[in-house]
Amino acid sequence: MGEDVLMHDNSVNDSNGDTTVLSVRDLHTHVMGARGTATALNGVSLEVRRDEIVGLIGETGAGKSLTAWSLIQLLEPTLEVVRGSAHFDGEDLIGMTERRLRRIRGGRIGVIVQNPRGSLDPMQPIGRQLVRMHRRHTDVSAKDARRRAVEMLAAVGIPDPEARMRSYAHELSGGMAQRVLIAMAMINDPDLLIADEPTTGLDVTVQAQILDLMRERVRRARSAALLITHDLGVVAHYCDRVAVMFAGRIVEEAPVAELFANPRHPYTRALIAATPDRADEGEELLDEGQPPNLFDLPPGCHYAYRCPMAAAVCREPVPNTVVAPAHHALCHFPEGR
Amino acid sequence: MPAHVSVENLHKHFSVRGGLLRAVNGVSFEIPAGTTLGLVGESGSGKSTVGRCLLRLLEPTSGSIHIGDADLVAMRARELRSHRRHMQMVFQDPFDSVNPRMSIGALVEEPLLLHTDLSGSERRERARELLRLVRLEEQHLDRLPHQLSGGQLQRVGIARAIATDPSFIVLDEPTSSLDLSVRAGVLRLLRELQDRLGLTYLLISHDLATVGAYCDQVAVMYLGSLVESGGATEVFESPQHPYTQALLSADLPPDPTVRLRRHLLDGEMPSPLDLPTGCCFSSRCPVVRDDCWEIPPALRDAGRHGHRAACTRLDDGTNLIPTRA
Repeated sequence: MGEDVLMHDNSVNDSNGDTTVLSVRDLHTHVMGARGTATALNGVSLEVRRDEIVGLIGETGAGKSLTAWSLIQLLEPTLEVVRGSAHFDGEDLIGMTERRLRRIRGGRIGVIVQNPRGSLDPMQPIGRQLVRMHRRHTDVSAKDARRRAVEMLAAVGIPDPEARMRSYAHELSGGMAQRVLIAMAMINDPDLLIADEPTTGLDVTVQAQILDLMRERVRRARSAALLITHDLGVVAHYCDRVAVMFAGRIVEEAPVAELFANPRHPYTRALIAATPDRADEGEELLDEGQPPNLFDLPPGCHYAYRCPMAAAVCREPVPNTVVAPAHHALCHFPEGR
Repeated sequence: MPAHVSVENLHKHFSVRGGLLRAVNGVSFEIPAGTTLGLVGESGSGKSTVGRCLLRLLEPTSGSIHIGDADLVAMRARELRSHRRHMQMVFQDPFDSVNPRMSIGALVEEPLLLHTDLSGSERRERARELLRLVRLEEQHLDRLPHQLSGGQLQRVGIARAIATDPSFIVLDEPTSSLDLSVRAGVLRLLRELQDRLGLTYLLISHDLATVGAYCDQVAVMYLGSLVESGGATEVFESPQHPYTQALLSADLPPDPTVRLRRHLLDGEMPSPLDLPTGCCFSSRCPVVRDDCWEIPPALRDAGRHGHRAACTRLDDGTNLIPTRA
C-alpha cells in the first residue's frame, strides 16, 4: 500500500513527466579484427524509464551484451564506440572520462553479470567486497558500511548473513553467488540496474527466486533495469517493455503484452513461433541460416536473407515504422505483404 | 527395430574426498519401444548420470539395465564394445563433442569405421545419405566444425548417433546450447527420425517446455531419486509430488497472458554427500510433516495411466501445496 502511494506521488511531482533514466541514441560499436572492421552495433537506440524493467532479447551474437558493455564503456581494446550517445541523468556516458565513469559504475549504475563466481574476488571474503563497494561510492563509516552490507545480504535472502560476510566466493553455490552479486549491484541504491543474463545457468526454481528478488529490489528502490536475456519466458513475466535485437540493431520494440499479442517484425514472429509450446501449431519456423556476417553486412535490412517476406525494397534503408503507440518495427512490411 | 528399455533399482555412487557421493539412488523406469521418456530435474539431480549409466559410459554401482534383449550390466567389455552400435548418445554441446580438426564427412564416417565393415566408398555414400537424413547438404561434407552454426553441428551429432542404425538413443540436453530459433527445428528432426528409423529415446532436459511438448512419458528426478513419473500430459497437468508442483510452477511460459501460480521453494538442493534420511525433498518441502524425515517414501499410484509419485502425503490426499493468493 505504502509503495503505491509513493509511486503515485512521484509521478505527480515530475512536473515535466520525464522519467527517463537512460537514453541511448544511434549507438555504433565496431570490432577491429585482422579481417577488417565489423559493425557489431549498428545504430542502437533505446530508453529506460524509472520503475521500468526493459528486456533486451535476441540470439547469441545479436549484440545484447555488447550494448550493455558499450554504454558503460567497459570494452576490450579491439572494440570501439564510433558513434552515438548514451545519456544517463543528462550526462553522456560515451566519451566520459574513466575517472568519472568509475564513480558511476557500481554506484548509480549497478551491474549484474552472467558468471557470478567469476565476478567476485576469489581471495577476499564477500563481506569485505560489499563494504568496499559501498564505501567507494559513499562517505559512510566502516561500521555503517558493514551494517549496510549485512542488511543487503539479508535482503537478498542469504541465511545467516553475519556469518556469510566471512565466506569466500568458492564456498557459495551458484544461486548464492548470484544473490551476493545482486546485493553488491544494489548496495548503493542505483538509479539503473544492468543485468546481463542474470539467471542463465541457474536452475528454474532458483531462477524464479532471483528474478523475483531483482524485480522487488528495483520496485522498492524506485529504480530501473535493463534485463538482457535470451529467454522469452523471462521477458513475458518480468519485463514491462522489450526490445528485440538482430545483427546489431533493435528490430522491434513494444510493451511486453503488445509484443506477444501483436509481433510485427518477421524475426520477432519467428522467434515467438519457435518456442516449443507453439512449434507444433504449424507456424512459420525460422530457417536456421548462419548468423549474418558482421564483417560484410548487406545494405538495407539485415534480416532480409532469412526473411520469408523479403522483396527488392528490403535492400534499401529500412524505416523504423510506428505500428501502435510505443510500438515500432524496423521493417518495410510491418503490416505483412 | 526400436528397443524396449528397462531400468531397475539403479544406483551410482562416487567416492570423493569428503565421503560417498550418492548421485543416483534406486531409480527404476521403463521406456516402451519407439517412445520417448523425458527425464527432468535440476542440475545435480543425477539425470545425466542415469543417462551415462544406461549406456555404460559410467559403471553402475548396482541395479539392472535391459535395452531390448541385451542385459547391459552383465556384459563383458568386448561384448559391450560390439553392442555400442545399437545404443548411442547425442551430447549437449556439439562443439565440445567433436574433434575440431576433422571434416564433417570424417566425423559422420567415424562410427561406421568403428562399427561396420563398409568399404571407404560405401562409407562415403552412407555419410551422404546420413547428411540428407538430418537435412544438411552434401557441400557440408568438406567443412570443418567451426564453419557450421550450432544448429547445423548438432545435426551432425545426430547423424553420427544414427549412423550405425541404433535402436536406442540417449539425448542429453540436445538443444540446451542452441539458440531458441533453431531448437524447434532440431527437436522436430529428432521426432521425424524416431518414426522413420524406429528409435527409443531417453531425453534428458531441464527445459520443461521441451519435455512437455516432445515426450510421451516423463520422469522427474530430485537428488538422485525419481520422485514422480507418468504420461507427460498427466504429470504436467496434474503434478502430485510437491517438488514437481514447485518445479512446474517456476517455469515461465513465453506468454504474458498466462497467470503464474507460484509455489516458490526456499533454499537449494542439499548436497548428495549428505542425504536427508527420509524423503529426499523434506528439507525444502512446503508440506513436510514429521514422518517425512524418517523413511524414504516409495513410488505409489498418483493418478491414471501409471502416474506415480513418491510422497507419503498422497495416502491421505494432503500432498498438494495450497495456493497462495
